Amino acid sequence: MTSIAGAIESATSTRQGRRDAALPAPSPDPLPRGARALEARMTGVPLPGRPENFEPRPAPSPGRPDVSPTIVPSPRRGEGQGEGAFPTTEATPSRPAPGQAIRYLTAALLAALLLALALPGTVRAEPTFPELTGRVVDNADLLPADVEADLTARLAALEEKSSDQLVVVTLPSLGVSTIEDYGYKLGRHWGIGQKDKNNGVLLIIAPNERKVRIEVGYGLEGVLPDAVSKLIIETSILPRFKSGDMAGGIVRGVEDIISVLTGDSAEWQQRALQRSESDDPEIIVFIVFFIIVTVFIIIMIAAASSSAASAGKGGSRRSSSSGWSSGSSGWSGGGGFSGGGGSFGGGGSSGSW
Amino acid sequence: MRLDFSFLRAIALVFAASLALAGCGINNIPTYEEAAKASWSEVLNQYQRRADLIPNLVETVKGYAAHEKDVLEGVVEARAKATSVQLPPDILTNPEAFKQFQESQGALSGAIGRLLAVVENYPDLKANQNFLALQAQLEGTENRIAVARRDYIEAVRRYNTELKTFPGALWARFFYTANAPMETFTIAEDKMKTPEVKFN
Repeated sequence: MTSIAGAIESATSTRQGRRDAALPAPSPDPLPRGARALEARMTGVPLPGRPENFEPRPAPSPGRPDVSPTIVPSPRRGEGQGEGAFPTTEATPSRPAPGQAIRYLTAALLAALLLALALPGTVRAEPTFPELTGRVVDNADLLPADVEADLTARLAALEEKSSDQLVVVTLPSLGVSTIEDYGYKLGRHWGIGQKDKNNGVLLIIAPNERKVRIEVGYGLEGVLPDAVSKLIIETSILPRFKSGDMAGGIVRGVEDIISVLTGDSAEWQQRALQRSESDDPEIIVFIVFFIIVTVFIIIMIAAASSSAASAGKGGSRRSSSSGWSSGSSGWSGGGGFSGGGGSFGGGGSSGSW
Repeated sequence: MRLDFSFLRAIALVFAASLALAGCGINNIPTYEEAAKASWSEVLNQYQRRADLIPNLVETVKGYAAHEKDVLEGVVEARAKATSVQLPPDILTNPEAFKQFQESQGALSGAIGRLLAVVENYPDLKANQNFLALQAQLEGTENRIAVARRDYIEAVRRYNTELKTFPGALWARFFYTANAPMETFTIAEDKMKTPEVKFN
């Protein structure tokens, strides 16, 4: 018999009993003494915990039988106290206990709600991806250091020329997924290729599964069609892999991909031109800066209309300098390499040896 | 001056209220709906791409294996059926139409699979450069279809979840009453059977 309902019932009954006993005697009551006396005169009978401040009675009749034993929390307790003329019947020292409990409950519910809102939808099962440590991610240790450095230089030159991002990745394991499944997810995860052009290519080699794949971003599917990817895999990469020359196969594959990507020189020059023209990050920074300045101007006008203008001017100057300092963002700066945010749609081809 | 301030305050209030509403996700349902529709367009796009490849494939195979009439005709018929399915505008919320679309594309997948199985018997055809290129394109297209379908399933999952869970369900109830949950791809029944292994 230790159910919650039972516990509440017993708690209320003991409280009522205590209150009945304590009523004539001065109790540690939050209500003013005068109100207490008034209440005793008006109601006559000691009332169980019924908060009457929900409905202020215009003409309380003495001796009115008001004995409903409901325990209703009384959120307007402070209000009732402030009124003075219509005192409440909340009068016992044990009264705060259920009120507090309910308050705690409400707080906990609110917290749970906020937590539920803050959590992301659901956690999706995704394969684990290696870190993008450079243009050549040789996690399966297939390439000697000098070959890796040479490849990295060529891949950087390719991006310099055409803005295409080609990344070579060797994997010790694909996990449970197929190389096709893994490839496009890895490309999306890293964001290889420029965001507005999706011009990324991945050369993925999984030596333990004996699989190789050229994963082509959306934007290069026309330049590097599946049939060409297949041709590169079948004629350049797989024969070398079959004879055990992993590094040679990878280098030859990269060379072929680069030659296809830069095959039409007029085209890649045009693409390089487009690259220097479209500077998305700076446009966004400019828009943000514009909004900040506009808001500050509005505030300044408001401030100037009421008080001295000098303080407002200083504020605006400070804001403009902070706006420009954040303007230098870009993917191609410095030594670190990162994807430009390109996406993949499953284009490309795979092979096995 | 006083008027200016109250005007500014009103603007600030409207701004704050719109921000608060956006923070509550009032825009989520239309946003997710558009994302799901875009994913659906990509699915259609890739299925169309596959349908466009088939005439070439059939012609190439005919050159080497003209007497495999049944298989070739099966592919042509399935393609005709799949491309002639009229897609009603409400296909995404219409289970019947969606099922019909899925079945017709599934039939085409099956026919192509049978054709490629037959091709295994013709070494000359398998060595043909034209055929190899077509095969690579077909593989790539099937892979793109798989990716597009997965993206669509994910977009619909997000949209349907938004319609049914707490803040979104309220918005759906009061603002977006016309928005219905979308259909999504299911695995064909014949693919759910476990393959039988026979030794004889």
